Amino acid sequence: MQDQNVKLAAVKALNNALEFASRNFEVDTERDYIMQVICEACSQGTEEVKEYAYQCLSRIAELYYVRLPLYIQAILEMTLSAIQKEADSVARQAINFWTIVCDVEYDMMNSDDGESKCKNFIKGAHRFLVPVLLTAMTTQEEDQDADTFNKSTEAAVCLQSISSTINEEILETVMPWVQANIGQANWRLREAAIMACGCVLDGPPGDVLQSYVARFVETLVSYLSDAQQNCKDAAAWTLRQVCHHVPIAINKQAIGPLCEAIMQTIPASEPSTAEHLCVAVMSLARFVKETLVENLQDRWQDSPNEFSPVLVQLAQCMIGIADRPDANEANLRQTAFETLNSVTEIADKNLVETFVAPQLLPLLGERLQATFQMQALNADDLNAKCEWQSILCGTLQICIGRLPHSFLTVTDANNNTLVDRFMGLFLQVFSMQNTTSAQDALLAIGSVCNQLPNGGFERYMQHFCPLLVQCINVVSDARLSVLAILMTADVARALEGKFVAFSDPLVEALLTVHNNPAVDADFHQVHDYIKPAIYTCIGDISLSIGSALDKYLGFFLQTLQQGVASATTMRQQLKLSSEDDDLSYYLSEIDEGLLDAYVGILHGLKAAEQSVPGALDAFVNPTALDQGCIALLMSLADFEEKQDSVLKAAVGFIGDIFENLGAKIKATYLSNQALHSALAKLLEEGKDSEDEEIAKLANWASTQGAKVKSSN
Amino acid sequence: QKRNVKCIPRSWEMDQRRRQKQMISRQKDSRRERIDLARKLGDQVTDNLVDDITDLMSSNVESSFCSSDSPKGSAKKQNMKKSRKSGSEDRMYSGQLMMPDWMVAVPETLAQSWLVASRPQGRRCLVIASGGSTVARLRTGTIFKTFSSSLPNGGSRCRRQATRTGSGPGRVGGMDYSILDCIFAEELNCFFVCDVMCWKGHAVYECTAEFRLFWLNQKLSEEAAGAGEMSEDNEFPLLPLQWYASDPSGLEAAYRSGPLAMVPYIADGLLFLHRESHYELGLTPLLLVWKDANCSTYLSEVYQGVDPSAQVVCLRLGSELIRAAAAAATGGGGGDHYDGEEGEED
Repeated sequence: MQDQNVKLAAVKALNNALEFASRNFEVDTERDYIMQVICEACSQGTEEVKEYAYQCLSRIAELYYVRLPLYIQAILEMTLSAIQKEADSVARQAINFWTIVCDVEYDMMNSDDGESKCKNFIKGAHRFLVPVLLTAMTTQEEDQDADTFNKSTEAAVCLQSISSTINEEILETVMPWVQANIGQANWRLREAAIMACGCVLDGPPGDVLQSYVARFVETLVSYLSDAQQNCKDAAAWTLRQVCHHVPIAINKQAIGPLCEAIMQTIPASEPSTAEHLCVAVMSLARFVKETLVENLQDRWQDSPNEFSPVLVQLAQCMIGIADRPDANEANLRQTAFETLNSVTEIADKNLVETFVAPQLLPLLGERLQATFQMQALNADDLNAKCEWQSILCGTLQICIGRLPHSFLTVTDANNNTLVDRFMGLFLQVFSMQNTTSAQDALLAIGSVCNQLPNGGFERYMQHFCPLLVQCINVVSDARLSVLAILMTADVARALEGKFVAFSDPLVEALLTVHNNPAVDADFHQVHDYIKPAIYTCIGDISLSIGSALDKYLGFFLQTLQQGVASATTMRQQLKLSSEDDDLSYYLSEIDEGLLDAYVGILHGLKAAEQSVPGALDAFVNPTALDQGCIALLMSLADFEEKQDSVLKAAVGFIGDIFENLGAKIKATYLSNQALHSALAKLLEEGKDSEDEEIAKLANWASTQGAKVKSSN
Repeated sequence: QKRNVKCIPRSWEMDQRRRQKQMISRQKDSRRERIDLARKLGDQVTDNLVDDITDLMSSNVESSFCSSDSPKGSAKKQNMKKSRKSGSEDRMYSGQLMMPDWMVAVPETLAQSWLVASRPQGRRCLVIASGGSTVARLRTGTIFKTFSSSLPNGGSRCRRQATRTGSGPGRVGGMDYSILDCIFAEELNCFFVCDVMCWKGHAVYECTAEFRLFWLNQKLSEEAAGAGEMSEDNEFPLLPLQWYASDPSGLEAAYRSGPLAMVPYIADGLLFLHRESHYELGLTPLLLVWKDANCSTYLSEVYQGVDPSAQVVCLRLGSELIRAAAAAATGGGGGDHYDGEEGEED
């Protein structure tokens, strides 16, 4: 016994030491010895020793994958036997070894240079491994759930990993087994077959899976009413996987019945089962919508689709789920509302008029109104309150976006419109000071703003503007700040000239945030880039306010000049180490934002020319040109790895310069040889682009350039 | 790290980001539209529009000329596509009008099933409003006039609207094009709208004439305010042609309506249109033309070198109702001025 304890301690110590054993693993004799000792421990000793010995093997697979070829055959034989014969805890670790190998190979195949390193162990082993795993999956406990970890769940994880590693090759072993067992009276076989089917859907291409999966869909749907809880949950999960990964396997006629079955099943289901079914509906709705839009563009709304017959019940079902007392579990409430959103998005025109507008919208409005009366005595209450406000605003955003404009602006007896009422509610949400619900409120307001052209949004600005300024300033939550900046651009566009009356505090906030050093402190961590959003917003504001641009022009150009300077620095950094994907992505966002801004300013000034002759002259100065856009274009011309979006913005802007400033800067700037060749290079790149739009834009810009050249 | 395949992490943030993405792409689209407009770069949009319109027209060619599975129809469609590629745009628009047959016998149900209108003297045109301008083309497809009109997406007004809103109802392009069958009255410098084939992207070729004319009048008054008057935004007035029921009073009204109309015009015969007829391209027995010396200057066409007395004309208006009519027109196609119905003899 003493001996076994020592052995256990030794195996654990070895496990921790492996990371530092890279030298030893390079020497054949030393490596052989370590492997031999571990393999012995895997098959001899107490369960615990074996368990930890297998953990050592997994660690080795992670750290020294390339050293494994010599041993993999022996390990395969050993693990196959362990999975079948050893105790659960040991078998699980043996399975886990192969899951780790899958992970390593998957990563290799999805990296640039890894493919050559991959030894394709899984491709060789899966024929032996998969049958054993499938059998292991039939060892379920009576009442296991999503938090259970045992041999059967471990085997499912491994099967899924194999599937994503070798793709369709796995189907020939798994699918016949599923076929043979999915109809079994023995629930263990039935459940394992359902699970196995769901495990192999993430990997093989959709068209290959379609024929395999289509034949099981009906059976899966029928198991939603399986008396065995395990099978019911497994069927729900596998249907979720099917709807997400292979929606084409569900034919159009089956969508209605599937939704009906789901709606019947959900009320009496566990939260986790209900969540699977919600996601199934959501994925399917999104897929159907995408397909419709692809085929019919805007006209998809004109006629009923597969969801039309069940849409009203689906929406009611989702709202019902969110009200369940256990909706806090398994993220159920939020998932139900996410599903409600996707369902609302696929409502055809008739349903928008007969259901979304007259029923759903008022209902959600009342619900949102009611949240303000919710008691919040502790942190949980407060979270629940904010969660409701978030999800209600989310769905209202979708609803409002779908409504006909005329419906929104009908006035009631008190001369208030429907939008007035909703704007009042949205603005109240900000008083909660919760960044998540504030984001959803902003998105909902964005939807309103977009629906009110011709300055119709102006009446809300007095109350909305201070809140917007506040949100822009919340730099600590980049998402909220970015959203508020996007919203500012939306408002500028919707209000056009009228925006000037409100722009001072907003522009001030934008410039303050831009100068805050915390803003681009760590772009590696953040994907909500504040600075690019600010630049683009500057462009949109300039485009909208025209002649009033005068008062901000100096500040804008200075801000952009700083942006150009830091973009140039980043570009030099990137040339030294082109490996930095984060930096390269951030830089292209910055470039695009800066170009958007210059384009907006140029066109804003051009519009101003109509009332203020000579307004464009304000652009002819060193801040705007030498240290600004020209520096940016020169730096871009010299940079090979441009994103298409950047190239497009650049060639368009060059055309704008030629067209609007050509005569003014012909002698001073355009005669400069370096600039001349930089612009020519960018335009050539544009013309050669495979993107037709870029090529077209580049041709247009060249024409503008030729006009400048030929003029006197 | 324990894994269970049934645990698939989700969060509200995913949906939020999805909705935010929609907002950003909407913003990008409208920004691009504004800038394109400022750069007068509508070409891309126009190109797509031309595709849409010609697709609609070619599908129509297929259904009206030949049975749906006839190879001839698809051949024509192919040709249209080809001619578009080769750049001879005009051909795509040729033969897109319904052409009247001579009225050689009185239809049995004239009073109940037919409509009648006084045909203004002038050129038949295919008028297409799209992408911020309006183009009138002759029967051959050649462009006759390009102008700004108050038709939806037909002119400067909608261009301005698009600039203002950036998107929304005034969006330039998209599916919102309209196709009308018109006659241009030279002396009045205006178009008379005889029929509608497509309004704001909704094709009505397959609808009955009665519905089309109702629709046309409705839409012209509701969605094309100012189309009847000449203005900066509407360079040529577009007036709906007055159609009457073909009963005695209607016939009489139509017979005299040209010079008595709100905008008096020179009449050139009577047009008869079957209430139930679809808009079919080319010659159709459901659109008929009647001419006599009282209602048309171009009753018979006189050609140089042809003795007028050699032309035989047998047209007569009955005293109580048109009872019988027969026409045999000798001589070739239309003259320079009148290019109305030269194809009848075919």
